[in-house]
Amino acid sequence: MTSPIAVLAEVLDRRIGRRASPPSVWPTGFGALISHAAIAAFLILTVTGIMLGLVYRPSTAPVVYEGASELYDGQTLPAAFATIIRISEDMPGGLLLRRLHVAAAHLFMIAMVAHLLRTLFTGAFRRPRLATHVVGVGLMLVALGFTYTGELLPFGLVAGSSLRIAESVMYALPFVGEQLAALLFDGELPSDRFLTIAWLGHVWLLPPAFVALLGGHLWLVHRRRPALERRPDIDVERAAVGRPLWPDAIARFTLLTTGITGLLLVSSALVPWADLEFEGPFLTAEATNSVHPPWPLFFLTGGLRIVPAIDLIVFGVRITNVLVAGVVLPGLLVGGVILYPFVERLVLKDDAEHHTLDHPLDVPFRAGFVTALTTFAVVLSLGAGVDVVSFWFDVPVESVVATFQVLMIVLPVTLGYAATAASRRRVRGREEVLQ
Amino acid sequence: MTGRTPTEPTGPSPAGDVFRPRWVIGWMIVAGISLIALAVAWFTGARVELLGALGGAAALAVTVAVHHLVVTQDAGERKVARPDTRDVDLPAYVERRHLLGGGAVAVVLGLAALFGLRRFAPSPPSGSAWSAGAPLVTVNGDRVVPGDVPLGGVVTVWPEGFEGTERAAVMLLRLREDPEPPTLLEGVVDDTLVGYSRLCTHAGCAVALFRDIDQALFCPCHQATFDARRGAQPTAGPASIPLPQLPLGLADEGHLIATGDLTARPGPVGGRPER
Repeated sequence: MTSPIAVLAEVLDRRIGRRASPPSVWPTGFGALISHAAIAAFLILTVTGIMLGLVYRPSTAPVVYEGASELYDGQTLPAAFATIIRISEDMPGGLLLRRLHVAAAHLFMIAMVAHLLRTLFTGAFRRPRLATHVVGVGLMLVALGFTYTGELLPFGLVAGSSLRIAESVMYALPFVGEQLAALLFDGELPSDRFLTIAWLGHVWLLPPAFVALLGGHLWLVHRRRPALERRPDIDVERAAVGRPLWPDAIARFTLLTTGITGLLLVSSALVPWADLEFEGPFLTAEATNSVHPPWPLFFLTGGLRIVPAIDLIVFGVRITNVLVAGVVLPGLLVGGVILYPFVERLVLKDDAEHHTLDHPLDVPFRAGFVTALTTFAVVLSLGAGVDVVSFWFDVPVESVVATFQVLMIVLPVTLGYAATAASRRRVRGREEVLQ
Repeated sequence: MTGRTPTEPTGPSPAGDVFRPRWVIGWMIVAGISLIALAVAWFTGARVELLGALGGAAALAVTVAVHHLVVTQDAGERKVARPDTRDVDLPAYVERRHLLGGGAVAVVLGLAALFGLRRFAPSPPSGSAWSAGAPLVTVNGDRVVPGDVPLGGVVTVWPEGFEGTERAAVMLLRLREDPEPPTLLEGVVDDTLVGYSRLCTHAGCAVALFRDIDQALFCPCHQATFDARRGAQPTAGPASIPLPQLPLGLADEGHLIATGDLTARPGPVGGRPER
């Protein structure tokens, strides 16, 4: 009689392993590592998140904190913030878990952004991977949801501000904004209802959504076979190469996960990633200088800072800075990312399937468009730091804002044009070599 | 077929590097010892630096062991023919009709949600908790007299009974020079004492900073700037309308009271054409 483990190994080997026919192949180069790092970070986030979620309490009700934190001992705090202080100061290893969770969140978002940029610049989104791309952008949006709700949960001073900013963005929506804001935020802040909604989202709704989308994304990658960089030994348009899922690719993924866990743990020992002690809890009618959301949301707050004051009434709709910066510009960015593959198909009149990852400068239209889009997002994001720039260089913040208003238009156009030109030169050079 | 041969972080080992079980076992023992030390440190409440270092050591030791296993047991790449995508079982392409169909469904559902929301959701309050005769109190409930606000000072006040609430928060300012229209001059006490809503008309943050040098109110969230001498009109930044003013008066007992509600609804401007 064979042992169950041997049976399992046999099944794995035949279904997804080295003896599967055809084998499920997964790329293991440095490029593929980026997206695998995002999944590894997600695993760390899940494990630390479950442990933190057992203690966290989503409530703004005032409670008296008594414990090891000298700063807050005996003070009345919002319950959510009090549980954060309790986790950090009174529970063994609690601070390490919180730091690890935040450090992994940084890596998660960096890897997601890098993977998206790689996809856009190399043309990995082309047929037959359009659906994979759309699902991938969905993953990105869920990740931004994680970022926003995750920042809110501790209910620190900054969280209070971002709560109100989200309310104002909802409020700015035409026709239904006021009702929507009243429904979600329960009128007066600090609102218990919205903290509960954020907690529901962060803990119960977004994780299953992410897992479902990720499953779809990976399944599509498997079915379509991965797109690959050009290589001298194989025509990647006709054949896909990679490691079998079991045990080769999974062993490599395990390796990546333990490596990342180790590095993040060491970083959590050294860097105060998540120490909210000195920020303090949300206080009504209070705010401090240098209020910034987590960096993945900089493009939103940057827009709110550098888009000029607008007050136009068009067809019964009031158009304000908040509507433009909080709804229109992010909509254009996300829409641009989702729809670009379809636009490229129309513009280049190229409906064929492609399995090769191009050099970023291989297609002039793509090089220009993606560079311009990326530059726009980066300028918007840097716009979140106008107050910091003003402080560093000792110039009035009004001048910094004016500069960014110019850069927001000029830089994407200039760099987009430069990328198109560079790409044209490259394409022409290659044609000459071929002739 | 151009391009370069791909490099891999976990490709096959250079020739001669054979599987050494002792190397793997050794590093797994290091990992085990680190894990035990971590567990002991955890339950004795050690500092975060020690916990992080021990956990990191365990994970990195496992990494070294697995890395050796992966690179020495590498079976090489597999090559498969590209499948004909038309045979793949999911809708192979996102086709125009799928997009149109999905779009139509989304629009119908969206419109239904919008009208449902307009019909059934609550409306936000139109005014604030301020009314004529309401005494101004600090967050602790102490009534405020004009002498409590020094020159260039800011005091946050609420209507009595609503201390610490969001929308009714008002800041009292003692200006250096007399305010000018469009400030509501009959709502000014002592010629220089004015009250403005503390909620920014841009995105609802607290306009928490007062710059004495040019009598400007400044919101730290998005740098909206208001001229406190001229009815808190926006002078720079993203806000497009002034902060609502609270008309102030003096009660017979000498403390400050409101003589009416705020001049407009406090908080962000919103999407409704009228305000």
